[in-house]
Amino acid sequence: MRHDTAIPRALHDEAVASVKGALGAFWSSLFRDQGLVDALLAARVLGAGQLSIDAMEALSLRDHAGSPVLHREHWHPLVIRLSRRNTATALTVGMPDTPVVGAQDASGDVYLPGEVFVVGGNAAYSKVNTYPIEVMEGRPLVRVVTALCDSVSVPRHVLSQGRDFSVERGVLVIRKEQDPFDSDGYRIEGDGDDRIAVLWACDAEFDHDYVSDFLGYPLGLHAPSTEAASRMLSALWDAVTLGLTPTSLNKILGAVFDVPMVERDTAVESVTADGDDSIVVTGDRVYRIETSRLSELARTAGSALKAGSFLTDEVRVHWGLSADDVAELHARGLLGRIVLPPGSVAGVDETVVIEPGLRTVEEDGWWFRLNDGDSADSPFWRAVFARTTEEERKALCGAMGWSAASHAQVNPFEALGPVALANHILVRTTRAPLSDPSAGLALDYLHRLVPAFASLLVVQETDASDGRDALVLALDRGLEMFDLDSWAQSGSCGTNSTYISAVAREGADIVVTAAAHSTSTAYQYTAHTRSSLSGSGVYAMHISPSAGHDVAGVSFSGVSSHTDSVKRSLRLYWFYYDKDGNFIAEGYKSVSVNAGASVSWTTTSVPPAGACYVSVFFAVQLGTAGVSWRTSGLSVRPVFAQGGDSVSSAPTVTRAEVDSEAAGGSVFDMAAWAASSSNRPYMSDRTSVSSADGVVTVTALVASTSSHYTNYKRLSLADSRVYAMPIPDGIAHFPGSDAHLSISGTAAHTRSVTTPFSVWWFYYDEDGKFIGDRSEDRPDGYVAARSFSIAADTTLAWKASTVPPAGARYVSVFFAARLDEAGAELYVRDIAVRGVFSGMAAVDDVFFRLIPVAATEV
Amino acid sequence: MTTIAELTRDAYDTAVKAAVDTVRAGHPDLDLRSGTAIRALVVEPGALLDASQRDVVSRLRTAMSLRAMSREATVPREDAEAVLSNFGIELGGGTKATGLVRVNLTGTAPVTVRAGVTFVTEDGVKFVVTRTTSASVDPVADEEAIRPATGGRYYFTVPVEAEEVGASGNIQQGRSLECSIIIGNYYSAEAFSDLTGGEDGESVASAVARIPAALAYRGMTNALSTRAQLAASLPDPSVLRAVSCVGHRDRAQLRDKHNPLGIAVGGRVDVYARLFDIPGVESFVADGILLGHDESTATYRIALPSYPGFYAVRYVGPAEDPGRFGSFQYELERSMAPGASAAHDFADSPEVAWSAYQNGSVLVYADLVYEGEDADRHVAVSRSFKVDLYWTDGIKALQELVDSPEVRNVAADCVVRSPAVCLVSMTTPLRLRAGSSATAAELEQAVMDYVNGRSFTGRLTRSELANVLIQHGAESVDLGDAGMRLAGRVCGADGKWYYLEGDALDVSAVGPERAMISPGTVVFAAEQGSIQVSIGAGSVAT
Repeated sequence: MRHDTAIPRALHDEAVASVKGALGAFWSSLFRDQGLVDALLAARVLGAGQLSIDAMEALSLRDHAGSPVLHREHWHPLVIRLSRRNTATALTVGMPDTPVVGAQDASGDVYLPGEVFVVGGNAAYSKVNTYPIEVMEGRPLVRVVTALCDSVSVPRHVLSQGRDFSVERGVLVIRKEQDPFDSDGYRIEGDGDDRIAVLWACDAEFDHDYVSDFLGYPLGLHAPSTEAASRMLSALWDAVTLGLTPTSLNKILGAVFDVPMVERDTAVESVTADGDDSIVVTGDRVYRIETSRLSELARTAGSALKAGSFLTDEVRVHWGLSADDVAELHARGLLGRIVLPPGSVAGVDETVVIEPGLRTVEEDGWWFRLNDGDSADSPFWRAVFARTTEEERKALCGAMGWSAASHAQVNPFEALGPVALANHILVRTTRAPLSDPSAGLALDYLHRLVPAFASLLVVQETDASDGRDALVLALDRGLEMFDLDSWAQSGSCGTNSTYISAVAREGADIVVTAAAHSTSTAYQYTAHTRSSLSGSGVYAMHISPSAGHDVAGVSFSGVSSHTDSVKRSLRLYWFYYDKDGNFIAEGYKSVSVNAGASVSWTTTSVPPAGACYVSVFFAVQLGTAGVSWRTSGLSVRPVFAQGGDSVSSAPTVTRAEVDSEAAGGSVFDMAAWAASSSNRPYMSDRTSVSSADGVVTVTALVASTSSHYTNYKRLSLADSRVYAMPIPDGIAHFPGSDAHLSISGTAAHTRSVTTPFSVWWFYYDEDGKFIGDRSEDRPDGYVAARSFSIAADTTLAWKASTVPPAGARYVSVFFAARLDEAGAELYVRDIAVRGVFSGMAAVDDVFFRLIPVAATEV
Repeated sequence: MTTIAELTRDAYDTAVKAAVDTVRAGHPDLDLRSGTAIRALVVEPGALLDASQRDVVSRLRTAMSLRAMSREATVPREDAEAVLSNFGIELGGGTKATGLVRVNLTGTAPVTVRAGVTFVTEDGVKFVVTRTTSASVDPVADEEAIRPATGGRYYFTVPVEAEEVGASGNIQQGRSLECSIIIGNYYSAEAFSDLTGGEDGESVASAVARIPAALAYRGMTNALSTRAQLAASLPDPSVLRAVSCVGHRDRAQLRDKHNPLGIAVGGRVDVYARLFDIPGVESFVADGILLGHDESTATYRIALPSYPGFYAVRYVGPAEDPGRFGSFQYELERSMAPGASAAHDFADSPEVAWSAYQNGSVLVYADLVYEGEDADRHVAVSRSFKVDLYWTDGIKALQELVDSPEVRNVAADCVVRSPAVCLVSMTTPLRLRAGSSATAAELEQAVMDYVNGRSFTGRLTRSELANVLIQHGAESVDLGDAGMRLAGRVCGADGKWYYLEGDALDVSAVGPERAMISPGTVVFAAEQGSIQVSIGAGSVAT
């Protein structure tokens, strides 16, 4: 049901007259006090009208495509109390997507209609009062669509939504000159600070969980009460009941990426410019959309539009990629390397990267002698050798068109790309998903609807032209979980002992091998650092207080064996580091292993106060030269609990909730950042900051080896005017989620030497209070920054991942760089802060280069 | 229907406020204070009726959604059934436990036990003989064998099912039973193996979980539509607890990598269908053939009868005295049924695991039993063993369904399999909340229900189980060194058992690829007796 559904005319004004007529001549004519009759009947009609709305809502709920999102009360009394004035805090940290309340500019002197209410702006207190709204029957008032009045039928004060007042998160924000307690003509009850005013809200909308209760639960999903969620669930419903067809897939993608889709075959009748937008009139609908987004077809009057097609070129779907498709995408420069996740290749339990270009002898892994398995340096080729004979390999080389003499030289992409991408449905998009949490839900659910014998890749095309690739971005995830890939590729996969000849990763195993001269039974150590992580090259896992729970412990487990002929011991060591990477504590687990045996071990350690990172390494007894230790399934993961080692009130999570709350996303608003005081230096006598066209420029005004910071606020957002982004509801707060915030962008500088650069983020709670760093209240702390180094003449694509702590509702971002010399400049661009959905994991599977706007459809 | 007394104060006040305000607007001087005649006789009754009718509409709205209903204290079963009928779902009625009862005899005279005879536990759970069973030392045709047992006694088995539907019929092997009639040479009776398959009537929550599949189109594509397709073929769709499709780019999908490069190319789907809460156990006596022996151990091979889709061997013991001791050591050898590789794309025996194309044999390492006298004395060349097999019927029928031309997917080769079962055991001390009357048995059942209600999640954690216990009356659960212990074991496609222990049982990377253990292939299950709670023994500070 739409918001503008009106009470039927017959049940409103005219109803009074008709009911009165039905009462007979005495009441309609003879009775002296006609005003009393009219007033009583009007009151009865009001009740009947609301009953009609309720009934229509109930009827609309039968249809998933037309189901209402919110319950509407045509008239609803808002009771506000003078004693609660300005005790509500919601809008002190209101975000750019909060409603416009009048308008404010930086000075607070001038109202500019349409301006966004800026975070923590002083204007909130100079221009408006806030009142918490009393909740009715536990149902939150979401918004007031039309107006607030002092009376239902004969109002003297009519306040307009968006101009005179706004309702946000259970708070009424009202312009001071319209405040009922300071204006004449309102009915005020009580005395002193206990005074109460009743304002009548016309078309008040309440959240009755219609979207979840009527659309979501049959699909096993819990979604927020938003129009976007309703649209997405309706699209999912179609795909579930009808199957994943081009149309049902497009409907879901259109809802997720907010791209209008044509419902049925039609034609463009007219296109009219309206500012930056165009109004596109088709045979069955009218669309308003930014002109720059429109496809050529949609902006041309008279062109035919097919049902299920989009009005823009922002989402393209390739069904069942054939070898020709892959070759063509690659030839046109649209498709780069392919990263196959573990499990994609028989016998290879690790990521396989398929590179373009001819591989030669010098490039490990892509050259081998056909009759010599040892020359195959990669797990992939070792697996191929394990399952083929030399004759079969020769035949294979011949069939694939590779050289089949004594050795092979291969263009991996051309050879394997078509095979690896066969049976894929590829979705390319230049748009980020909607910030609505249901976007993540829909993407996650979409993956479940794809035929099991195929794969869906949803790829957001990005500008990463500096060459930093998807593989490296994927490895950054080591912050949240122990990542064997990262460990193996870091300095941790090395030794601190001359008795160890090699520390290597073999599939899912870590193998430590004794040197030829080793005869010592003392413990020999793999690489570690006791001082600081910084510059050590050692891999450390972030102990993330995710899922809304504190970390009660860190669990270590694995299975170890050795090749020696007598009993030997192994220790798994762990070192804890604080948020700056400084060593603070250590511990270890000893395991004795008999000859030929394999021991499964597990232990849990409680991190000391202040621990933010943990690294692991091995100490092994070698004894005999050449002996090796093998550890499989090394796992390091936080253990969440409340109340120390005992769970006294574990979270209540149902399977359905785990399924449904898997995602959320939000895109950083660069314009709001630039318009806020975030776009200023932390110390204006040292640094200047400016932004234009999405590029933030930080300039050093003085020569200094200390970092130059952009502005930030550590205590409270209130009054700071620092821009903070709301954290989507789905990003944290349930166990098992891998959802997190991703903060990314690119950066470069004007210096001639490598320069340290760091991105910082601060978290704030519902009231805008800072919670994002170590403090006495949060001794576990966590990292609020990532540091990078940018070489001269280089653009760095940087990315950090972070899981919001319990209670975090907002995140702000700022930057620092050690520019050293006066006049040096740092440029930061393409800043994005967004929720990472489990359903978008495939983004890392295939890496796409920037696609020119003019690229034509494949 | 709502009565006026049931109206909330909020709803009533709002209706009165609106009515009074409206009347006052047209008649500002009218006295409408509480107690005045017009307010008491006209305005308030009108508002009351309006609010009452709105409440009726509100209840109607609520009754259209099971989720909205579930926010109330209880969901009326008839209301739930009415909504579920819109999705073509009926609440499952539950099932009866079945299994074998062992009747111990003092002699070998032939015996007949007629169908309908009952056996009863000491606490009154009744089991009914389902088939008239005759037994003799030299059985013919359909007769059961009377076999020797220790202590100069003998036994035979009769098939039974619980008289009542429900989990109360699931009793453990060895549980003592009394017979309702007099049987010649009768000595005692007991459960021959665990009686399994008894399930209570389906909960509304379980039925709600089936709605997506009920809505979904039928087809052999994704897990949802596949479940819809399979469920439609079953007389009682609620027995299909969960379906997982293991396909392209899954570590446990071996069949789509049958190319020299080993790259997954899609086009193969393994459908794992969970048809049980507690894994069913099938018991039988079979002869093993001696393969060889040393000074202390004899090795026998037992060819397993046809149990299509069986999961693993649970127990192998001496037929004459089953259950008195632990199982002999044994190894499961899976093999391909004749014609398997032609029917579907199987390369070797692990790939047929848990499917209808799987055959099997068991190598048993038993103690030495001799035959013959003196000079002729030799190790028995053949020996009877009691074998317990994890098996729930239904996989073969589902395979025939997906192979039928009416159902088969033209783009994919589908094989139906029983899930690998991670058998969970848990022990924990805990402390009850003040006022809680929960018993250890109730808490154990709650944990069992939770574990057996989860499917293809890949991970089971101590925190989850602690939460279940807390929801059912525990105040605190010790997760320290002396606290909750959680362990699991899962049999891979390679026939080996893999053991898990710790804070979480995570099957995401257990065993080699050929073990085919992954979140998509494994379900968790807890058998009777595997969950042990001790109340008051916790070492937890409050």
